[in-house]
Amino acid sequence: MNGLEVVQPDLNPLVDVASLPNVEDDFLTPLPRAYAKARALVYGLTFVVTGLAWLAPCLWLSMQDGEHGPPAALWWMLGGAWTAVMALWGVEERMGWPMRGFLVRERDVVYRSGWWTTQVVAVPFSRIQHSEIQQGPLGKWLGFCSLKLFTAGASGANLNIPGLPPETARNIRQLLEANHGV
Amino acid sequence: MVFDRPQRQHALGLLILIGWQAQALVRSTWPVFVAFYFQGDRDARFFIWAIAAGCILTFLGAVLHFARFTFHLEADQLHVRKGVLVRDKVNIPLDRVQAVHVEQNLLQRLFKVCGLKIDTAGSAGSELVIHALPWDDAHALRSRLLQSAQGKTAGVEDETRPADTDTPNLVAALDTATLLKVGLSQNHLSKIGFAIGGLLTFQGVAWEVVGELWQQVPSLYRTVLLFLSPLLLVLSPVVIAAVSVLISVATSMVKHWKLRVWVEADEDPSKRALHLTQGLLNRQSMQVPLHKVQWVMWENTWIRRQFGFDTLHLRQASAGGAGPTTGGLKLTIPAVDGPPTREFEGLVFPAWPERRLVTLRPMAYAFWMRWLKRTLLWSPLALVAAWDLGWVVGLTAFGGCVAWTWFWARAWHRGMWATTDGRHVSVHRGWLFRKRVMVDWTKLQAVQFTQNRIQARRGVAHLTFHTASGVAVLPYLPTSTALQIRDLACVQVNGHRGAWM
Repeated sequence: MNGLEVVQPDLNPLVDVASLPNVEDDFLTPLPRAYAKARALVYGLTFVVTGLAWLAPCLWLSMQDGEHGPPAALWWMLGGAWTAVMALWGVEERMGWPMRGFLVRERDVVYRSGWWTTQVVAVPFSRIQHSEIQQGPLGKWLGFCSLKLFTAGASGANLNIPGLPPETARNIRQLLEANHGV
Repeated sequence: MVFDRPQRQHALGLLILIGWQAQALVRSTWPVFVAFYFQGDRDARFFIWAIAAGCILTFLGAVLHFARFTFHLEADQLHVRKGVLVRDKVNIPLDRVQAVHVEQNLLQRLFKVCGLKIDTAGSAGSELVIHALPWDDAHALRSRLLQSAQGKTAGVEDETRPADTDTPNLVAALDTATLLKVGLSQNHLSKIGFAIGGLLTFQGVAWEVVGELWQQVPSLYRTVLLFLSPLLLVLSPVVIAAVSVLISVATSMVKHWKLRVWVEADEDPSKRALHLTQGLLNRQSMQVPLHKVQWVMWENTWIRRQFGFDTLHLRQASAGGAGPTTGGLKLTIPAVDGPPTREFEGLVFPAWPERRLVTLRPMAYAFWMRWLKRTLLWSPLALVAAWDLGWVVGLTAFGGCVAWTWFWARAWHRGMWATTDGRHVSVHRGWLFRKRVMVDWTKLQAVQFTQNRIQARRGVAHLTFHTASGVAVLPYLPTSTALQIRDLACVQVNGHRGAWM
């Protein structure tokens, strides 16, 4: 079962798998610190808001007589779930940040993300139908935007590169327009 | 028929439009009808006025829509003007047309007209629906629309030729016996479940009806029926199952009646098109340029394997998603056996196999993980058994669970494999329900490499090939192989210079 072996094609010497251009980690361009700040801000706000949403009713109920409220075990279970989710999210954010990066090659664009589950998506330029640069209020404040590259169909092949400096996003778009008219 | 001047559809289109608008009106205002039913005589005239106003608005809306809707061909584009309050002008470049369907229901057949649906990959549904065109005009328009897609330069093909068994280049034709097999091999479980659910939901009403009928039955027959009632109770599941099978057979017959699939031959593979006609009440005629097919799947069940055929699905690019109910053209041929399978492979993937085939199998890690996950999923049952019936029963149940999940994981693992020639990939999955997905790497939209932390330590990764209408997944490959295949697929896409959609 383990013996997977790739036999080199013997009728087409033009394709040598070993010499194909591959995505080396060192070539990936990291995302700017401004985007890390934005993610940390979103995490922090969610932490505080959801924490208060759990804590406030808990404190209020503890000040009541306690006969008619939901059982304390339910609150502890909710608190435990909240702690677990926030801890896992925090670890993913912290460890996943160095994993995030993009790479623009001559004919395709590559984006890598995720620490626990790493995804590397490569989209050839020739398959991009249109592109979109999106900048929300947080992006305007901190100076980053998202570049969305749309391919044909909707089988999950669209690529979203978040946290790009606006000039980088515009440059990539110009490259697309110059080479492929997208 | 010349389409270079703006023209309206056939007058019957107005009738169909009225039907569509009335249906839409009823769908959006059904609470009014419910209220009318419960209102009784009081204030009934207000409801009658409202319904009358609705009917007049429906009629006026249909007339205006019909009058405003015009279409014509100009400079390799289909120009459409439509809309009453919001006026739309739609231009569809002919080279973006993915498929054109011709459909004919009973009403359309009576007036010798048919409906035309035009699909591009730009929206979830059909971009344009023409409700009524004379049969010959519809086929002539379809040929004009697909000329660009098929790379033709001139001439309108005669589309009205009969699709009988003497048609040259016939790839598949379903006779009555095969249709019967198709109906028998449908998924009956859902229909049986639906019937049982319906009985349970309406059992109160059913008992009332049965009670009323029972009073009308003569006493002699009542005695006989009471005597036979245990037998009826035993036979009722069989009756439900038989009715479900009959429904499946009937729906298959109606949907796929006289199914014919043939190929429009051309020396140049990029100009070949697949034609399909089928249907008893709603006659369908589809034409698909073969080079626009993005994704192909063969699937079968245990029953279908006994009959020796697969169901073949061909998909073109879709904007609305890769799900079974959304987007793009989905051409389904319900009974394809060995020789036609090879023929379809040759038609849709003319270069397959371009080189010596390489077989890829998932690593043993896939089996162990599947076994572990399934065992963890089912073992709580053994725990419950141990709690209620003692540890001997619990241990026996756990042993049975482990053995069953081992068999299950092994069958799943053995059923998962793929072959590639360096340009295409054919992925096989499944045990009872088997599927085979085939894609051409030159038509890929993106390649996705996925790996979690544990898989990274074990050197395992998944590869997902995204096409414009579906995905093919190669799971649990060794990391180095997955990376090589990913890079090879990217090179194939980037090196491809021909049309892909």
